[in-house]
Amino acid sequence: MTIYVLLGLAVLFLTTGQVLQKLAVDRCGSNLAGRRLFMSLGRRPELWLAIACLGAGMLAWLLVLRSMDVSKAFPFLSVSQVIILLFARFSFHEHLPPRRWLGALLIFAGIGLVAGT
Amino acid sequence: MNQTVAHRSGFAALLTTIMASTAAQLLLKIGVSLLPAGALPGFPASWWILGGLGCYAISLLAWLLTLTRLPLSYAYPLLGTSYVLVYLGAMALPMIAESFSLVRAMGILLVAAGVALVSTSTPLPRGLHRNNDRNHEPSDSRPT
Repeated sequence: MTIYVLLGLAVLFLTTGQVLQKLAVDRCGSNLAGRRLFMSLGRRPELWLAIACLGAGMLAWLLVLRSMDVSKAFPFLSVSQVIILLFARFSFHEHLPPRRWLGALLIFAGIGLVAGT
Repeated sequence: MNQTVAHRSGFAALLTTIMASTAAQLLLKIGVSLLPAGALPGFPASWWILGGLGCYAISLLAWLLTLTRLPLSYAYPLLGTSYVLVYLGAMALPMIAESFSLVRAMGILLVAAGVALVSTSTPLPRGLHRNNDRNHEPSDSRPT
């Protein structure tokens, strides 16, 4: 059971880290490229927060991998997509097409099958 | 940068993302399985883990680059292939050698299909993107 708690923490931290990473990039604007983009990124607090979250998530992830097959654990990371979907729906009241909910359903069906193995 | 060049470098970045995230998972798994029992996977526990973390960092950077070059509706569905590649790698590599399971394989195919569908484009929630006209797409995290 503990392993699933760790897995949940890993997913949450890695998801938060990736969203923050994306925010950092968006706030730099799309007109920068190469070295200037990276310089500008380095000054974004979101980026450093993202790195902290990714670090915590990675530690939890390594603990998970110690006792679980990687082919079993890895598919669980796709839950981050569903978290983002729910976030978009309930925090931002974004209207989502049925196709995306079907995607979420497939992800849950898939990890349900994987969890049983 | 013209459109064709942007797309070509976008696909190269996407391919790098997929390969690096797959390699990261496999290297990390090999790394932790070589640690002595009871040892925490501290940093840097081994060269395998260090290599895995390096690949993970490369995959994150390559993904950021992909997002600036390709519409997410092309990029995301292909990203689901890393689930299949990790599964195949975990069975094929002798240092990991996980056993085949039909149920797990089916689950992974469902996950890959789900990832492709769940990310098909809608605008980012207001507030999550600003002044970036190429990113009127879902926000996005990457299943690493």
